[in-house]
Amino acid sequence: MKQILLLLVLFAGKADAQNKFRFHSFISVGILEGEKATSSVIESVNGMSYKNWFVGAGVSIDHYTFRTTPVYLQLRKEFGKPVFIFLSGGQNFPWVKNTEEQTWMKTKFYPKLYYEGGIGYRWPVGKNNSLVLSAGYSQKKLEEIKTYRNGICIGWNCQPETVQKFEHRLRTLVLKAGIRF
Amino acid sequence: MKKIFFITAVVLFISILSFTGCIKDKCSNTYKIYIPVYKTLTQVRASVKAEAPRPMQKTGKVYVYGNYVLLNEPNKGIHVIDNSNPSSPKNIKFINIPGTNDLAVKDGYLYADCFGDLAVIDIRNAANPIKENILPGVFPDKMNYTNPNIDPDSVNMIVDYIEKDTTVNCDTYNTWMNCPQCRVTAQGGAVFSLASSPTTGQGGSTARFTVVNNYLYTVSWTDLSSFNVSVASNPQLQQKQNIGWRIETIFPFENKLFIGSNTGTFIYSLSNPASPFREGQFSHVNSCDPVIADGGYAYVTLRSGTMCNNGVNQLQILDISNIANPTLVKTYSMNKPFGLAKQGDLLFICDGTQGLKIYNAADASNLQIIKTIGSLEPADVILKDKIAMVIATDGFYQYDFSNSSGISLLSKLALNK
Repeated sequence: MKQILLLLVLFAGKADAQNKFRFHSFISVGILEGEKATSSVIESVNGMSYKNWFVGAGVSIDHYTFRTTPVYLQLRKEFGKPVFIFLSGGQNFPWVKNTEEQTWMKTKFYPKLYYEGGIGYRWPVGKNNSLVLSAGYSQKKLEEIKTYRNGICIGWNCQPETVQKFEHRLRTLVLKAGIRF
Repeated sequence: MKKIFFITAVVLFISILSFTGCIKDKCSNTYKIYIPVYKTLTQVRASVKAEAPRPMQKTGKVYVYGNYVLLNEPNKGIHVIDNSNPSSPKNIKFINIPGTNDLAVKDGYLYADCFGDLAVIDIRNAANPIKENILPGVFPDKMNYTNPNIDPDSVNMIVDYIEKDTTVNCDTYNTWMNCPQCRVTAQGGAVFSLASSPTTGQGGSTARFTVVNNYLYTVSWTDLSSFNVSVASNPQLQQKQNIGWRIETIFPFENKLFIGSNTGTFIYSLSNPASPFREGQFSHVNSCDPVIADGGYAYVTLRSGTMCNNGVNQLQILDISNIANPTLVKTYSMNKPFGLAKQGDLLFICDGTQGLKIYNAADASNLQIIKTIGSLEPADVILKDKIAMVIATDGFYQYDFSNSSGISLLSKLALNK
């Protein structure tokens, strides 16, 4: 891990010297507006920019309906200086509260696809930093397996379990504000 | 600049709010629905017969009779296993008995429930079982009709289910309720077993049928029934008595019946074998409750679960030296215990996902664990000739325990093989 960080710093320094590649981090917080509720998200994206392009890896904590942690790759393209579009895609990992196993039923969540796309605006602040505002649309999927024990009984004999598989597709509009450095 | 940032943020926020009505979550629910297959009672009774051996698909109760092991496949029938060589058991026949879950044997005649009927099968030649007799309507709690003398052509019984994968919107999940006889779970069976008297055969602690001398005893949810089987091929119902509710298991020991129920252990005297009467009982919290007895002690496993009114998971050892007033010796914590068996000082307990546990029970108040076999999820165990016959969720296992410190697997009959 230390070696990777060192390489990244060296590469960023070299890129900076050549004035072509730059290492950037985005830290943002946001509002998620969906069918069921208004919720929040916090994200961190880190990667390299080259000319008007940026590619990075990101991780979020998304609280809409089920708390999850999407892990994704993000691609940004700037038009002129301030306006950009972005597209993110990856896996949505569950981090769900209150899923303790009960005597009669247990619930398990499994990761599924995550993506987000949108448009944003960036205001340079100082030499290397910016304020960033973006709006977009995201969809996170999540698989939920509910296993009911002793589901059906015939006389004294009970079936061992009943299984139901739920696939959740949770869609939200996203408004995020953050900084780039 | 701050002003522009703020105005832009407000504009974007308002834009988002105005579009939220277009955003809808989606949720799909996938499950298996089981559509019933019906046969008339006439067809059901006619279908009780021996067939070619077939692979086990679900495990049920187990019964040992001589060199044969009878494995119940819940609601389908009974597999006849030639166990002359426990290291290499052979599946030699399948007896088709729709709606069966329990069995016992006397003098070469197999008794098995067939929905509300009692089927009698001649297995004196186990390689060629022959249907001998059907006693109609003796188990009312397993009938979907009330009159045992009803025209059997007018009654439809569910003998099987056709599996169908189904995906619906989460909001419309309960549409399967439109099919009142459908189920939404794996069709087949759970894993419980049955009993018998030592002179006829041997069953497990979770049995609901047992034979003692010339009587077959069966328990239903509420009743204890006694059948005179002095003529083994022709059982006669002698008595049916209400003995409580959620009756689960029956175990014979020294001219007594130990009956496990959700609420306690009942001890019935067989001094009048046609009409057993209660001699003692020991109440416990609501739990599922197989029971065995050995010498001065009864061993009771209590299990939690929906079927068991939740309850607790433990082994209780009762002092039964005074049958009229059993007393608790000690309680041991368990994972999710099902059946159990004891031979000499060795106590075997099927403890759910934690596997088969073997204890030194020389001192009932101080059990010592000898070994845990955790590679299986056992439901019941029968001990015979230093061989532990274990029915588990994935098949039938046999272990040699002639050396208790080196218990070894002799064979496994796996499902679908």
